Amino acid sequence: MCQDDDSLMRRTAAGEELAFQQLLARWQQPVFSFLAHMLSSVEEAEDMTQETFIKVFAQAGRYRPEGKFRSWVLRIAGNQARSVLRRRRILRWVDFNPAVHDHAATGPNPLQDLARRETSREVQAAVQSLPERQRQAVVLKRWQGLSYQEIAEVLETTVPAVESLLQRAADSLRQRLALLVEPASRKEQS
Amino acid sequence: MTHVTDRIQAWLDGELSPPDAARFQDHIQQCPHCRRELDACRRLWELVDTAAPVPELAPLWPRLAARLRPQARPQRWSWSYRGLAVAASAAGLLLGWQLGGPVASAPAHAGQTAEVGYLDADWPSLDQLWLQLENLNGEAGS
Repeated sequence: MCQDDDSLMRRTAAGEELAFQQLLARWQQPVFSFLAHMLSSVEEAEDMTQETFIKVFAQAGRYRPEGKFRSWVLRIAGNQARSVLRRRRILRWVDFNPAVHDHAATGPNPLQDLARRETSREVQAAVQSLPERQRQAVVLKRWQGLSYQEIAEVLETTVPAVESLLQRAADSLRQRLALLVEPASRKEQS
Repeated sequence: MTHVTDRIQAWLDGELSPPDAARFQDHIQQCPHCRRELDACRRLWELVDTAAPVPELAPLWPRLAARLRPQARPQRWSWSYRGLAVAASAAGLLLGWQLGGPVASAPAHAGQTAEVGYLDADWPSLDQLWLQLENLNGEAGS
């Protein structure tokens, strides 16, 4: 039987391992995907996904069942990402690791694939260059498909603030990716 | 004419209220500048959406289980172990008293250990233990 997240969390809090396994199977990929886009590193994203679910398990008793499990778990994952990014800043690591793009699909046309991978790399580098909260809003919107209300819950802010974050992110990305975004619009103007 | 470029994002994301969305669309139809901005934004997000696919993550449970199971019932187990430890200490004390008393001081048979002597002995009553403790105190004081 397919149970909702709140019921599974209640059962997890009561110590039912099977309920936690069901939650994990349902949410590990979205959490991993969010962290991979935030951290641009598959390995770190995998580690942080584990840490996120360890916290979910440990804090199951404190979870309030209001039908907002996704926002809650992504908030925990966001905190994990923040701690990794902070550590990177301290260690002066290179901010961008292209490992995440190297999984881009390969088709029958190698040149086309190369161009696609290059574009993908540029886009990802541009997203990585955004300030952390703008990046988080972009990842949650574009790759997780969250509504503004849900993003506001994850970021613990308001809906207008989310709109502003995304608008500013779009402006920055358009500047940085002008060569990829603007040519077509110039053609249309002429 | 007031441009609507600051609402493009919300419109693309389907986050405008119906009246705001209607106003936005009316403006876009009349304003080439905002239309160009809208098209550029649309292209930007198409690029972003198709970039950086994330690989499928192998099931995490086998790795998590090893870390979670020891913690699964941490309090109950730790208290049980503490209880056992207290009981073992008490038994050890009893054993110590008993071995330091008449059984241990009795001559042991060949091949027979003190523990066997203890196991063969009757359990002392509390009065007997109290008496032994007083004797020990007396010896220590003399």
